[in-house]
This record gives sequence, structure tokens and C-alpha cells, in this order.
Amino acid sequence: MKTPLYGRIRLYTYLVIATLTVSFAVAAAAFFYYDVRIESQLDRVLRVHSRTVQLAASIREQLLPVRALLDMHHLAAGAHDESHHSDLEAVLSALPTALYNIKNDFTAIAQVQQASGDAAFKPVVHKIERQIAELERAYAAALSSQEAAGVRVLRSALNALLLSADQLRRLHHVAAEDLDLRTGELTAERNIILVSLVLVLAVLSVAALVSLMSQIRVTLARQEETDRSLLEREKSYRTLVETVPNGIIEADLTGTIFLANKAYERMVGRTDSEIIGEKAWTFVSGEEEKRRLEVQLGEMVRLGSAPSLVTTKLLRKDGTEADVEIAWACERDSRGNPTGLVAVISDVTARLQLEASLRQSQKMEAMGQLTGGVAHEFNNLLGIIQGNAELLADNQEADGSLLRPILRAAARGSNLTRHLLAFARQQPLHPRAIDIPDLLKGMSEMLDRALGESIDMEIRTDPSLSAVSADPTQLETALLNLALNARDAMPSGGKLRIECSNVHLDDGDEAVPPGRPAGEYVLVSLSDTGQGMSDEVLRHAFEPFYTTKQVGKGTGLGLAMVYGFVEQSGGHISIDSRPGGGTTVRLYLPRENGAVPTTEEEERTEVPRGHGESVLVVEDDREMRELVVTMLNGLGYRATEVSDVAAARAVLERGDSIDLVLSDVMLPGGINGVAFAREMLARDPQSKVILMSGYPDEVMKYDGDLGPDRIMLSKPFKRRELAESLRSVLG
Amino acid sequence: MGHALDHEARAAAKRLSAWILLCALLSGLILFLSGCGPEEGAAVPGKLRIGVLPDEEEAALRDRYTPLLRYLNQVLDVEVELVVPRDYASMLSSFAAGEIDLANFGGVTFVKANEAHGAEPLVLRDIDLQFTTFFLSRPDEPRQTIEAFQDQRFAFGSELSTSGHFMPRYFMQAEGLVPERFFSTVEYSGSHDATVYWVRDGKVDLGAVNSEVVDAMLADGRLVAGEVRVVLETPPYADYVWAVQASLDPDFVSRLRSAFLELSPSNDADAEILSRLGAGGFLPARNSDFERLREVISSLEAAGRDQPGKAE
Repeated sequence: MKTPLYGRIRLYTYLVIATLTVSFAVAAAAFFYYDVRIESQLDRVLRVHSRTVQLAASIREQLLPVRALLDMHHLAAGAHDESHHSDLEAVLSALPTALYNIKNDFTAIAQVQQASGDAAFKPVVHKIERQIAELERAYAAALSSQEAAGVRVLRSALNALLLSADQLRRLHHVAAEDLDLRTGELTAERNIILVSLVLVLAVLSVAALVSLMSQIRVTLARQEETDRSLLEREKSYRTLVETVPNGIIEADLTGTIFLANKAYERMVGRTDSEIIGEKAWTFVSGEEEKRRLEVQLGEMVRLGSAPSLVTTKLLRKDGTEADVEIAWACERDSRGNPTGLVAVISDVTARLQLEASLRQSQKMEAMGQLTGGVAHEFNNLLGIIQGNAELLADNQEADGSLLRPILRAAARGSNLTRHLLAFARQQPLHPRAIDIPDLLKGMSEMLDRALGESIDMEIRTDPSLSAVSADPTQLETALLNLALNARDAMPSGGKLRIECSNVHLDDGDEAVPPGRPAGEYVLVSLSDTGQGMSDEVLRHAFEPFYTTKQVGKGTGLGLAMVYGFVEQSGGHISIDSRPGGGTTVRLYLPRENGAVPTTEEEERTEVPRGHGESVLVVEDDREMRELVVTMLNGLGYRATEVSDVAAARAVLERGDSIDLVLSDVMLPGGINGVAFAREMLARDPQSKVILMSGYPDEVMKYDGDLGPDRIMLSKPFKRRELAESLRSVLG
Repeated sequence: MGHALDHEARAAAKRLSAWILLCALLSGLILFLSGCGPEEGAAVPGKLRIGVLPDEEEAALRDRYTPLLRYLNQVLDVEVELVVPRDYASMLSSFAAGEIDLANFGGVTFVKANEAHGAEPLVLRDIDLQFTTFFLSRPDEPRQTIEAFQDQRFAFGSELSTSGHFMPRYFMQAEGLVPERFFSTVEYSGSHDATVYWVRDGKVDLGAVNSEVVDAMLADGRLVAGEVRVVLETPPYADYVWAVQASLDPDFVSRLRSAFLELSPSNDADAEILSRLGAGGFLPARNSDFERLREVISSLEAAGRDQPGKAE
């Protein structure tokens, strides 16, 4: 990683090293230079001096005895003692040797002096040279004259030379003192340079340090800024992770979890501390599944396989399970080496439940379609069988003993198709406002008988219970069916409780199946204390012909009919049951806000007969058309038959007197019975029309659509139904 | 924020260069001072002013020094001037003020001029190194050594005299004797001859006197042989000295010294100059010649600080 800081530190390091090197070099040079200078001066001076001092010493050594002799001679001469002449000669004889020695020394020293060039000594040395010459001359003069004057001159020359020797000796001392001073100066100079170097170094180091510190401070501030923004991002990611509804976990390469968010904690019903440190597959339900996930994750890490989606179940701490989808991914560093595992877990329990419920309702829908279609076809066949059988029965010649079983079978068949249509939600219903407490009161005797003595029945109704909108006959049938089921579930006795209450269902409520509107309902629940049902049984409970009863004891259509009726009535039905825990069936019926009309017993009278009114029958099915025409003729009507609308129009336009048109709804030729009826009404509002249909859907669709007097007959219909319908239209 | 930081970094770089510049200036200054310092003030005088001790009438002094001045004028090719101060103190102050280039100091005066004003010793006469002091007693005195005179009366000459006070005190101190404690009384007679008379007349039992003065008094009859006895003669020491200003050009000083040293008694003209100055010849003078004197002066000064008014 290269940042400006590292560059600067390197630069400063070079700078300091360079400064140190230069300073060291200068210091070394200064030491060397000064030492050499001091040494050389000392050397030179000491060499010259030692020789010079040697000369001075030599002069004194050679001449002092001679001067002593001369002094003695001088004193003697002063006493005018001639006997001392020989002494003078002896004195003078000592001089040549001394002079010879001095001159030898001097020659040597003069050379040294010449070489040294030391100005301080030069004058004295020259003087000594002269004085030596003078002494020689004085000596020669004294030797030749032998007079007192000559001796005095000689003595004076001798003294002068001795003085010079002293001067020379002292000059050396002065020079030595001077030398001490000079070397001291040189040393001081050198020390000043060294001290200043140290100062410069110190100042430079401080400067570099100060600058570096400020660089470091700047870089640290930048770093801090970066850290802070990273921290903030980290925080926002953390918030994100904690906020999403999906569970998120992170695990190391061995699958050990080191991070889990709140959603995941909720999913497995455990706290953070119970999750961290566990393996990623620990909370999966089932040993097989755990092993499978472990192997899968291992392969993902090892082979670098792509992110995978696993659908499995998690086992909560409380033992319940959650259906989840786990999306696994392997985290990798910049070189592609796996560094860890990350998983996003979605709880799909609700979705799966919804899907199952949808599938169930789709299944029921499909069954209803199938059942309805089959029932219609059979209904038509039964209509033919029944109609013809009835005609035969009217014929006196026929054998009633043979016709009765046919009519019974046709009636049972018709009953069966009616049940099937009920399940298929295709039975014609005549919903009315019903007060359920009234209904139950009317049924109570029948129910008591049906349940038998070993079963107690309890009815609880809400005093403010609303009326419901339903077909009262069908509702009675449904309640009876349910009561009988309860009885069968309690062979050794028990209790049946029927409760009614107002409920409001919201969209999210479990009781509201997909596609059903929320709103106000009346809940009628029937709870028994019987053996209950298993899940498997419960799942198929509403399917037609599904029965747990012994063969011959039940049709398997009871619950299916109830289901179809309730659904068709705009309500909803649900069953709660556990094996051994009894069963509760809940009927949610739509509320009716209108007043409840008082029920009147339908009076049973003779079949009303016609008075020769003409009826036009429009029916494409030939057999059905013949049946209807036969019925009409038997009832005292004049029937004209056509097979389609075009023919019907032709009859009407021909001006034949037609009192009533009895038309099928589904007709060939592009126009159906309903449209045809409208067409007639448009032409003459006083026209009278009765529509027939084998499809209760159509019946319901057009029932009332054509005015209050228009009646729709549901095929197959009985003769009485037809007769009553005709009479009610024709008046 | 980034801009602010960059700005700070640039400011730091600026500070660094300022520091380096400061360093360079500082080191340059130091080198400049160390290199130029010693040469400063070195000068060859346009006129050589020579100060001499006012120990005689000015006319006599001029008579004594004129040959030397003439000689120096010839040899050095420089104008010379004789400066005669009123007294020893004014000579010192003139030297301090730089009104004198070359001065003939007494030993004590030189030490002070050297200490206070850096006067450098140049030359001294051969006899200046041969000064001695006599410790005199009456001839009938039975005591034969200085140590025997314990608790007797003692006299120095002038309090500022080298030979009459400082040097005898030095030699006594070297023997471990502090006069003020050793003798019963210590007095200052004021001059050498007065001390001689104090001893002769029995005013004191022992006196320190310049040996040359005693010889001179004997020679001219002021003292009769046998009136006093020499108990002890000190080893020779240096007294008078020619000194120069430290600020003088070293080469010039060197030539000046050589001029003095050239004076040879065997040369008639030189002999004339030398005899006027009472010298057999000149010798180079050293600071160390006055080491003993300096020691005793500083020890007395230290004592004098405890006894104000006693010294000088």
C-alpha cells in the first residue's frame, strides 16, 4: 500500500541520512584538518625548538667555563700579577675547542632554521652567527696582543654570545607558550564547528520531526475520516440486515455461524447467543436434511459451485417447524479463495399454506365442474325417463307394478343429481332472509329424533343475531346432514352444541378463503365430542363420494352438498378436527339486512289444469320437446312445438293465437331463449314467457330479469311444477 | 475536507523549508564568527606610544629612554612617542584606555594589566630576571633562620612593591609561613631604604629589602657595612617587564621583540642604549616568569576581600 505518508517518511529518512552523512564527513574533515594542523605545527616547532634549545645549551656549556676563567684572569689582571699570563694562555687555549663545538652545532641548527622558516628565531640566530665570528676575531686579537684591552673585548663578545644563547632559550619558551595558545585556538575553532554541526543537525532533525508529525497528523485525520465513513456504512448495512424480513446468517468455512440477524432469530425461535457458534445446519429439521445441507455447503466451498437455493424446514426451539427457502452463497476474496458463507433465509410457511389452500379450492372447483356437467346430462336423461314413465302411468292400460320402480329409480336419480348439483353449486336456490333461531326451533323435534337419546343437544344463539340470506330448505338439509354426521361420530353418545353469532371477517382472516369478500357474516358452528378426524380425512372431507362410513351406510355426499350449498350461498365452511378431540364445523353465512318474512306452509292442492290455452314450446331436444308437449296436452293445453327460434318467430308472425311461450334457454341458431323472450316482450309487453333450463346457473342469471311474472323452470321438473308455473303466469 | 488537508500538508512543507533556511543561516553565522573573530582589531600602529614608569624627573626619563626610542624608530621605521604618566595608577589606566602601545611595567603593575587588559609580556632586561630580596637583621641578632624570628617584629617595604612585599611574602608562604600570623607585628615601611633603617635602628627585628637597593646603599655610603646582616637571600625572580597591547599586529610585535633582542652589549651603539637602561641585554619575556607573583597577588586579593583596604 502506497500512501503519501510512506513516501514522505522515506523522503525524510533520506534527508536525515544525507544530513548525517554530510555532517559526519564535515566533522571528520574538521577533526582531520585540525589535528593535522595542530600535529604538524607541534612537530615542526618542537623539532626546530629542540635543536635550537640544544644550540643554546651548547653555547652556555662551552662558554660558561671559559668566561669563568676569563673573570678570574680579569681579577688577576687587575692585580697586575704577571704570573697569571700563563693562565691566560691556558684560558685562551680552551676556546678553540668550544668554538669548534659551537660552530658545529650552529651549522646544524642553521639548516633546521632555514627549513622551518620560523621568523621569530631568525634575528637571534643571525646574531649568534655574527657573534661567533666576533668571538673568533676577538680571540685572535686577544691571542696576538696579550693585552688587557683585547681580553676585555673577548670577554664582551663572550657575554654577548651567552646573552644570545639565553635569548634563544627563552624564545623557545615564548614560542612554546604561543603554540599552546594557538593549538588552544585551533581546538576551540574545531569545537565551534562541531557544536554548530550538532546544532544544525538538531534543528534539522526537529524540523523533519515537526514536519513528519504534521504529515502523520494529516494522514491520521484522513484515516479517521475514512474509518468514520466505513463505520457509518457498516451501521447502515447493519440496519439493513436487521430490518429485512429475511433471515441472514454468516458462517465461516467450517459452517460455524458467527452472525445472525433478528429475523433469523425469530425463525429458529432462539436468541443470538444460542445461534452463534452453532453449525449452519444445526437448526434444520431432520438428520437427513442436516447431512444433505452439510455436504452441499462443503461442496460449495470446495468446488466453488454457484449460489444454491435450498427448500427445507427449520426446527424451532418450541418444536414447531417453519418452511424456508435458503439461498446460500460463498464469499470470496479478490483472488477467489473462499472466505466464508452467507445465507438469506425466507420463511415460506404462509406462502405454502396459501398455495395448498388455493390448490384445494381449485380442486374443489374442478370437481364441481365435472360433477355439475355429469349431473346435467343425467338430469336430462332422467327427465326423459321420468316424464315418459309418468305418461305411461297416466295410461290406464299400463302395469303400475312395473312403472313404480322406474319412477322410484328416476326420483332417486333426480335426487342424486340434485345433490351432485348442490355440491357443484349449481342447484337452483331460492334465497330468503332467514332467522336462524326460528329455523332451528322448527327443526328441533326432528333433530332430537335423528340424534337419539344418547346425544345431548345444546343450542346457543346470540339474541342480537342477524338474519342470513339463504335457501331455507337447503339450509335445513345442510344442518340436518351435519347433525347426522355428528351423531355417527359419537356412536357411544356425547354432546352436540350448536352456536350462532355475528362475526366480521377481515381479508386476512383464515376463515376467509381466497376470492371470498370480507364482511359481515353469521357463524353457525356445530361442535361434537366425537372421535374426530385425521388430517388425511380432513383434507378430503368435502369431496363427493368420500366417506369413512361402511359401504351402504352413507352416500359420501353429505358434506359435499353442505359445502356446495354454503359456497353457492356466498358463505364459507371450515372444519376443525383432531383425532379423539371432536369436530367443529363452522358455517359462515352472509347476513341479510332485510326483514324476515313469516313462513307459510305451502298448501298442497290438486294439479291445476289448463283451459285450452295455446302454448308454443321451443325446445331443440326432440325427446324433451315431446315430453313437454305430452305434459301440456295432458294438462289441458294446446301445445305447438318448434325446435328453434326461427321456427318460433314464424309461428308467431303467422298470427296463430299463442297464449304463452315455453322456451328452453340454450337453443341452436345463434339466439338463446332469454334473447328471444326479450324480443317478444319488446314487441308486446303483455307477452307471457316461461323459460326452461337444465343449467341452474342460467336460471339464476335470468331469474327475475324478465320481470316479476317471468318464471324459470329448472329441468328436470315435475308435472306439478310445470302446471303451477303455467297457472301462475296465465292467471 | 481533502482540500483543507492538502493545504495543511503544503503549510508543513513550507515550515520545513523555513527551518532549513534558518539552519543554513545559523551555521553560516557561526562559521563567520569563528572564522573572523580572531583577526578583528589586529593593527599596526601608525605611531608607537611607549609608556615608562615615572620613577624619576621627566627630563631624566627622556634622557634615559631617548636612545632606545631613536633605535626603535630606525629599526621599525615607525614614529615613536614617549608617554610619561603621572603615577603607576595613571599608567595602568592609560594602558587600559589604549593610549599606550608599549609599556615598561613593574612586576605587580604588569600582572594587573595582564589580568584586566590582556597586556602581553614582550621582553625584559637580563637583570630583571635576577632580582632577589634580602631578609635583613641587626648584626648582633643571634637568630640565624627566618623560622627563628617567630613572634618578632617584621617589616615589608612598600605595600605595592614586588621585591619589597609580594615576592618575599611569596617565598615565606611557600615555606608555610603567613607573616601576619607568624610574626608579632607586620608593618609596611613604605620604601626599601626605610626598611633598612628600621632594621638598623631596631624598630623591627626583621625586614625584607630589594638586594640591589642594599648594594646601592652600601656603594654610595648611605649604609655602612656591618650595620645590618643578611639572614637570607631569596632565589632570583622577575620584576620589571616590557609589555604590549594584545590588539597589536602579531608580526609587528614579533619585529618589536626582535629589535630589543638585537641589542648586543658587544656593539658600542647598542651598549650605550643598554647601559642607559641598566641592562646587559634583553631577553624574551614569558607570562610564566610572573607566575609566582601572580599567585601571591591573587592570594592577597582573596585575603584583602576579607580585610578591605589592606591591599593596594
